[in-house]
Amino acid sequence: MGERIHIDGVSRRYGAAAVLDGVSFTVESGAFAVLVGPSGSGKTTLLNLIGGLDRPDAGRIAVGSWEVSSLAARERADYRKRHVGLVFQSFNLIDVLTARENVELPLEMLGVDGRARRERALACLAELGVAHRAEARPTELSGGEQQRVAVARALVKEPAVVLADEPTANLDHATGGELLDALARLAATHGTTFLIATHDPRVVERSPVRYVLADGRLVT
Amino acid sequence: MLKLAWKLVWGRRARAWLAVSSVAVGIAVVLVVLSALAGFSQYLFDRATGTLLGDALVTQGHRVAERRTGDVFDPAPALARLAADSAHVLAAAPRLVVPVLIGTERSERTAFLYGVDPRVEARISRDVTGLEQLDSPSSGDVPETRVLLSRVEAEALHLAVGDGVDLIATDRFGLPRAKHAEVAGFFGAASRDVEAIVVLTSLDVAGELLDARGLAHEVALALAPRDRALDRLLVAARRLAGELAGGGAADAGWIVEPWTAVAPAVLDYVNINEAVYRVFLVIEVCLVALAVADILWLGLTERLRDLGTVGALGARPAALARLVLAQAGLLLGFGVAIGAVLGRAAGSYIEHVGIPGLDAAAAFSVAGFSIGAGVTGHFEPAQLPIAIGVVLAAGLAAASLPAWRAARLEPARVLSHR
Repeated sequence: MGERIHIDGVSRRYGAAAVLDGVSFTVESGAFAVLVGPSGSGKTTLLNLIGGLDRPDAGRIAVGSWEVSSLAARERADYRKRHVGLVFQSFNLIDVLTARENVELPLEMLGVDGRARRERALACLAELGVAHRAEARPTELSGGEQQRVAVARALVKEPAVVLADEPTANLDHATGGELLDALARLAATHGTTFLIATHDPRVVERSPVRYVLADGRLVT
Repeated sequence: MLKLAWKLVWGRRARAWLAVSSVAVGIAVVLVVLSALAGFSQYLFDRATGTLLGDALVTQGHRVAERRTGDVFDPAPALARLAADSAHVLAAAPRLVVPVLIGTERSERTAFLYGVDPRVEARISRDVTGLEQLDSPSSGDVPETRVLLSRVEAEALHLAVGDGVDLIATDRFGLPRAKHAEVAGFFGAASRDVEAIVVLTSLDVAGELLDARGLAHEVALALAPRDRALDRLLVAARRLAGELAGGGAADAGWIVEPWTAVAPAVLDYVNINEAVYRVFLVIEVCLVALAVADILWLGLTERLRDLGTVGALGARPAALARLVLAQAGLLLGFGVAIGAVLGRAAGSYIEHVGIPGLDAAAAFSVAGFSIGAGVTGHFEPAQLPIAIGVVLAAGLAAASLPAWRAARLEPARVLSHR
């Protein structure tokens, strides 16, 4: 079941540059929302803050009952492990592991035993259409396959919230469409809350909930 | 987490082998240095205390009785047999030691050599050959035999160089008990005109030799500087001296002293050697530690992105540190296993073959003692855990830095630097 994301007056600076400036909005539980904006508008930074990868300089971020913005490093790690699925723009697959092992990794951290881990990873890869590449290393996969493996890794633990950064950026039109179909299907099946940073119009068209960032501020 | 660590290590085989090799070579090098320096130390000690064979100098020739006629004991074949039969004794012998030999028989002008150390066997033979060559029938007027110790050796042994002692040769190891009777029999059967016998040997052998001959004038007991049984051995030596004196020795002039008392100046030389030993070792350990640290640090730093990913997926900071330490542990484990074998082989090589680069000419000079040919490594089992411990400590210290760094890294920052 998805959880509500509430962002209130969040700001983040890197040195003198204000990347986010007083951003506030709420994504309801189970929503399929997109975060739109040009490069450098702060989308990735905002996802990092919501995912507990970084901390805001000001403001409050709450995901369900988690006060993410005030968590200590160890608690943020637990929060990421149990509640958040992250899809990185650059995949960040571990290249010494196979696709299946990459997908199994979050389950291993949760203490899922080996057989169940393997079955769930393969099922998730199958759902995204890359089960036949399960034993391939990331360097042996195409960009689109890597992207789908990265998505499988984010979804395999059935998190309450999935944060995806440009998940269709490396995919052709058909593959991107298939991936979006899979995400929409998962959102409907599990009630997972999706927040997707993108500037891909195909993604934007599919989402009824849109937030637009420009120069670190929420425009709409 | 250990499985992931293994995957991360093995996934970059070239880097992993480089790290494993650095650890293995580090251990091997430390072992070789320990062996070599222990060999230097022992050599210098032996030089200082006069227990090294081959330093006797023949200053005047004289006709030596033919020793292969059957009626006079020829020690060379017996020495070879003793050496062959003494492997277990050589392994078990304490460092105190010292067989010996010294004997001059005025009436027959015969010098006898004794020794069972296979490493010096060749030199014994050479010396014997040298004496044989002096046995020239053409020599009409036979001068007095005079085989001299070096001055330092003579002083160390508290000997008056001159009429009393004509030859000294020593060896580090005791004789097997089974051979005692044979050796004692030899001394007992030989000429009664031996002027002096100086025995540096194990207490048992000394007792039997001297009991059999009953002609010794002095006993100097040489002990290794780090011999932990020093006190016990001294007590035993004094008891032996008392028994020998009370048992009808011809001359009860027994002297039983530790070598430091016999020749206190020698202690300075040994101390200098010890200091040199430690300096070399510290330098070597520092070099090994830096090399290992560099390799591990570089390898683990290159995996920061993977660590950032694992952190982003929910690994706690402590788990990331453990992941780094586990990788280092795997590399060190393999390195130690290979290094132990490699180091043992290298130590054994320089123990049996010698230290490359040292030729007959003196290669080093420490406090007046030249160190030249004949220096070999000295491997002791205790060196192995020392070498492993040193490299493990260096490796873990090296890994602790990236582990600490991993525990503090912000995944967002690491991943954004791709």
